[in-house]
Amino acid sequence: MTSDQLHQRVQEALDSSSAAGFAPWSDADFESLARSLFAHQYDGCAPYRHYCEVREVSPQSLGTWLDIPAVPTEVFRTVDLCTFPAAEAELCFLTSGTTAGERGRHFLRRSQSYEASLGPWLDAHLLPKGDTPRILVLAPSVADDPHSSLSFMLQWAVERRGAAGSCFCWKEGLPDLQGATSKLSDAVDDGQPVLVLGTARALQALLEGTIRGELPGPVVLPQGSRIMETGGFKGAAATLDRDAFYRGLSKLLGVPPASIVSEYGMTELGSQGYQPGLRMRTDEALAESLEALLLREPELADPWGVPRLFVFPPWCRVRAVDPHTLKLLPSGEAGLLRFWDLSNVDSVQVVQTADVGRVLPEGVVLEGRAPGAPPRGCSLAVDEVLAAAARSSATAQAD
Amino acid sequence: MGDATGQDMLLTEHLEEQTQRVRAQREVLGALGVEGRIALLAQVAQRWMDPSDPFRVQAIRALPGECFLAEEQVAWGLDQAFAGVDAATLRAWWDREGGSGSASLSAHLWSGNVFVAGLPPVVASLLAGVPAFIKAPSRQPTFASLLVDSVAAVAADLGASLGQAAWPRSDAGATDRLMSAADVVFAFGADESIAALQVLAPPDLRFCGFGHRYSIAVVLGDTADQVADGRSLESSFGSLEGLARDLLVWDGQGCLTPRWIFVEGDLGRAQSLAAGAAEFLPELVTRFPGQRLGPQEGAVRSSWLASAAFAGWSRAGDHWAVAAVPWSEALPPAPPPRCLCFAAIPDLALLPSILAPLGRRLQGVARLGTVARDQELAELCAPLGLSRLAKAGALQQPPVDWNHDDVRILASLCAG
Repeated sequence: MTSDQLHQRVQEALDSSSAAGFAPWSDADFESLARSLFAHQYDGCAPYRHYCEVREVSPQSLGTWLDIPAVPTEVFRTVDLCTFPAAEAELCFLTSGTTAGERGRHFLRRSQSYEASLGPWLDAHLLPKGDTPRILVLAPSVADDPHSSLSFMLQWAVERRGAAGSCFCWKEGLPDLQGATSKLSDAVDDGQPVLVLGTARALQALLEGTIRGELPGPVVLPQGSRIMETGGFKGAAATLDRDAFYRGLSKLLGVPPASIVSEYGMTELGSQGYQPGLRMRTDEALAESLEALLLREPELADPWGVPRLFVFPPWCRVRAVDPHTLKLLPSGEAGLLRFWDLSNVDSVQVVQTADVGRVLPEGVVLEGRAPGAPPRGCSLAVDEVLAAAARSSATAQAD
Repeated sequence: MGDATGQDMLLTEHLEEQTQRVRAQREVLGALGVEGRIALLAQVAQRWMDPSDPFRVQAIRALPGECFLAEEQVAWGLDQAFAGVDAATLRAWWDREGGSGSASLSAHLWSGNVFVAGLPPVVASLLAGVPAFIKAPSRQPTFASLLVDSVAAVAADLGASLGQAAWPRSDAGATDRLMSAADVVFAFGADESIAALQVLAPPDLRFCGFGHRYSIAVVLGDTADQVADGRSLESSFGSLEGLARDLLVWDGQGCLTPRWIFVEGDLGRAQSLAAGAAEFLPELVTRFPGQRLGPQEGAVRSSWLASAAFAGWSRAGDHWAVAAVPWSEALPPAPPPRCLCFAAIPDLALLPSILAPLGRRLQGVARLGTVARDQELAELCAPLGLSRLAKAGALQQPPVDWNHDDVRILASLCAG
């Protein structure tokens, strides 16, 4: 099957799943598409084929979709994982820079399947009533950051779902907080609901700017307004106290805390996860299953009765693996999260992350990232020394 | 046998009194004579080697919890540490480095995990007739406590000239008091800790610091094909299984643990060695198990092994992993602990430039292959700081008189 044929097949499957209210896929349906994608990725991506050969897995020998070799996110930093010449990519998403140096690269030959995944799932969780609010974004646009998968998604939302007046509040690499408060006031004056989309860091800056008196005071956005924050509760920013942050945002913008939705996404995946607070209001079956979950695990409820978990579309399955053995864990046990994302057509569909969480039938409870490894006796911390040597060499060259 | 935790922590308040009491034993120690001290030290070591010895039994019971090692690893560590403390070795050491010096107290600042690392300077001190005082890590106080008690059980006079207490290194005041009371200090720990201690040390103090180091192994090209099955070599060559043991005995910790195994030859040769090791590792790790990996360590290991598989070849199991990569992919990042990383290198002459970014921190080289090339290896690695070259399987068994970090331990105690 060619890449174009696969994109067509994926799009049809995703469209039909979205139209059917995201009912869970049967194992047979998931397996069938996963196998076709694996064969395509195995044949088309030579480094991945070599990796699979080392793991002694081929399309012919594959047991089930669970046996498709997973690629850790770190590998995206060093290997071009694509079934086509990278130079021909329609999109190239880069991970944010970290202390690890190289940025991870996710090449997309075409955006068709990516959009087929992000669109309906975003609609279901942020716009469940099919409305088209004014959208205000506290993050860079595609023009400002053409290699950000988040910017691509937010731009999609503004262009496809935003009412007139939707905009990005971003200037010279930073959130334009003055501009944002002015736009928010305009929305209040117009009486038009607003969907605020932003990184947790940018929203935090808005909150702190107001507290410090550098920005105009709180506003009460029109009823039906809501907020989506992303990136606040994993990795380096995990120290944010979610509930206190949501209370602050609620007071700042006059949006009920239950109308604040957290999004979980990563450059290496075409699909995203959302906290289901808004969707629960319109999807009775979902609400019923999550209420049953909260009866079973009441500690998962946040102060506003929303479960602290992320839900993923049925074409993106998640499992936790034992960090020690990398074997799949039973449902509910905490481990490293592994994703099978069928919207990843021309890269690799199984991605191993360093995020820790519990996978329940209803969704994924994210537990952030574990603290660093313990010290190892009198053995040299080789990577620290090498990093220091590299820094010192870079400084010497700069001098 | 003393309570190794709470009581000793309280004793730090009386450190001055304790060190004075130990220091006062110098004449008693001198009166034993070199031969008397050698005999008693050898007797202490013999007892530690006896499986029924109560100190050994207690160590094997208590240390796994403190040092995160299995009982078999603790037993192995005790055996290798005390096996070389015999009369002939001590006498030869004395003949080579001994003499009448002026030191009246040595201080020993131990660090964690590889619990026997600080033993040789203590043995050297008693051999030289210099009373010794050990500062044990507050979280791993048991071995120092048992050692002192075991020496006293053999000979009260010798035991009285050895003291110990445990306190956290953050208690700089207590450490400072100990260093001020001593003429010679042997300190183990991270480079930064050693540097900080050195700043604290009085100017007339003889300070021997042992910082963090790393080791490597080398598989010589002319023997690489023969060793792939793990065992079929003449004993002086070392063995692949011995090399794996060098890596596993301290759970991947320790300055003598080989971090990379450089294979003279191509990637195919490295891969056949890695595949050979993968055959026997599942059984070997049952004797030398490791700690269970947490999420962070597990994620790092998974990423590293996947990257190795993309660049070459890798396999992993419960508590073990092997990889074969071109040397250019070997660092950074460094392989995870308990991973035998075979890095193919076309010419050993490249080693100094490959490892140059790590400075002069190379501790040991395990050689798998003919002893005839030891001179070549020693010359190649000397600029990197090498202080131990041994056949594979023996790297982790340094003799008690090894010049750790090129420090002549006994001589430093006997210097005027």
